[in-house]
Amino acid sequence: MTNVTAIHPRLRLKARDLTGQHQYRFTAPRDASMREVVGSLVQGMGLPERDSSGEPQIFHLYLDRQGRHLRPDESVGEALRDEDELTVHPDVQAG
Amino acid sequence: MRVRDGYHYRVDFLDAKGRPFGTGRLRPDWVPVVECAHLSAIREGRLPFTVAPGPAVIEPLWDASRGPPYVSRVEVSFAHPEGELAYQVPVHVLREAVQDALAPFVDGVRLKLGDPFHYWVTAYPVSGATTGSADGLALETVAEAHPPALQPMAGLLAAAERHGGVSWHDTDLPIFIPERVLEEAVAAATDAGEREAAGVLLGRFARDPEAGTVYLNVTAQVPAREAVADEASFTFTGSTWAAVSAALALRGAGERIVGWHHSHPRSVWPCAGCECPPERRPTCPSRHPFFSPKDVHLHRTVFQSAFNVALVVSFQADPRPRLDLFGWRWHGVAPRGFYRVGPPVPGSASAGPLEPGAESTADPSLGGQS
Repeated sequence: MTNVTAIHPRLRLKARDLTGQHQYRFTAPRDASMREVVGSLVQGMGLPERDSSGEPQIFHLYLDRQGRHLRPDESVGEALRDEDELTVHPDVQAG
Repeated sequence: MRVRDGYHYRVDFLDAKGRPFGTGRLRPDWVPVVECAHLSAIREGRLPFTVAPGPAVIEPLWDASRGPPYVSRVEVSFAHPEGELAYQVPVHVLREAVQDALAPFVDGVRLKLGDPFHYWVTAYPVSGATTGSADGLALETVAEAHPPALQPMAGLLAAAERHGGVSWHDTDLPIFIPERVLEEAVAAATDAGEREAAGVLLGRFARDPEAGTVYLNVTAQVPAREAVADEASFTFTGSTWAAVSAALALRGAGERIVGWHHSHPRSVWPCAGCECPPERRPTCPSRHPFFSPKDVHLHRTVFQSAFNVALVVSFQADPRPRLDLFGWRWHGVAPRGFYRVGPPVPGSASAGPLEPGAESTADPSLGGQS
């Protein structure tokens, strides 16, 4: 007999905007990509999806625990642990 | 931020004589409105102090004489631990969205630039219209209470001078910025030469124990590193923000990010270095506060809280840089005043008589709703 531990299909996570003023709890499926997670977060946090010239606004997810930006193709299950905290970082231009 | 709004909006335009000349889809950005309502409710003592609003609901209120679908006011409701709080604002808070909808009609025939006009906002129910509804992720707002420190404002006021000229509104959240922070921002801008420079402003909230006034103390600025700058733009990247977060953690002073600063080098001005004749000076663009569409987008993307501010260091015809502060008003980003605290740093570029602020030219003529 092999002992296995059931794992929850979703991770409990926390996200905040850059300033830390807006913080959210959410759960994400383990097979979701960071591209999908950041897209949903941007929509959920009411952040602009287009820049001032109408181009898609670019956002990155920063994993506080490891001090690095997550790649868009990394999956939640590979890169994150339960209760991880993420910060949404935009590439944004002043003029 | 989650905003539930079960309506879509249109705007009907009328010329100065009341004749209709067009209609358009209105796309309100409710986030600044909700943020401003939230801060107002806190300042009035109607909500406990939290830095971010919880989920909000938008409900149009019908014009008393015309009835539905004509909107005269908008109600913003928040859920909070003790119940629900409703805040009503005039529909003029949508003036930026109205200007966007007006643009196709400013063709020199139906309307010329600067022509007065009137408008009516109308609203129609739709189902499932929720801003901030994330597919697959159910976001739950974490409302962290951060009671501001009790600190008398009188001591600060005694050492402070108003800055902002006509941009000063007594109803604005009082914001105090030390001369040292201003000088550091000016030094960064000067060192950058013809490139833009930028940084992040840190600060803390406080409440006057006697009057109950909530105010913001800017405590420091952190230069933006790892960024891409040229003479006309400054790009904050993920690496810039990571460096700012690291600096904030390193300081460990209980500060929060409250805004940002950046410079406009002399070369970005349309009449850079010119000496306007005296009669042209009042309308010369280089003598007015300037906040570009890119600046507005950055402020909306990163600094959406109603108390977030942007300091702009401008090098114009005057050899001494001009300092302007921008912040949220109900309808969008606009120049605002602030208190300069403490003596100017001797020999600094920002020392000397205070630069009087000027009316923004960024807000074009907008007719009021009849």
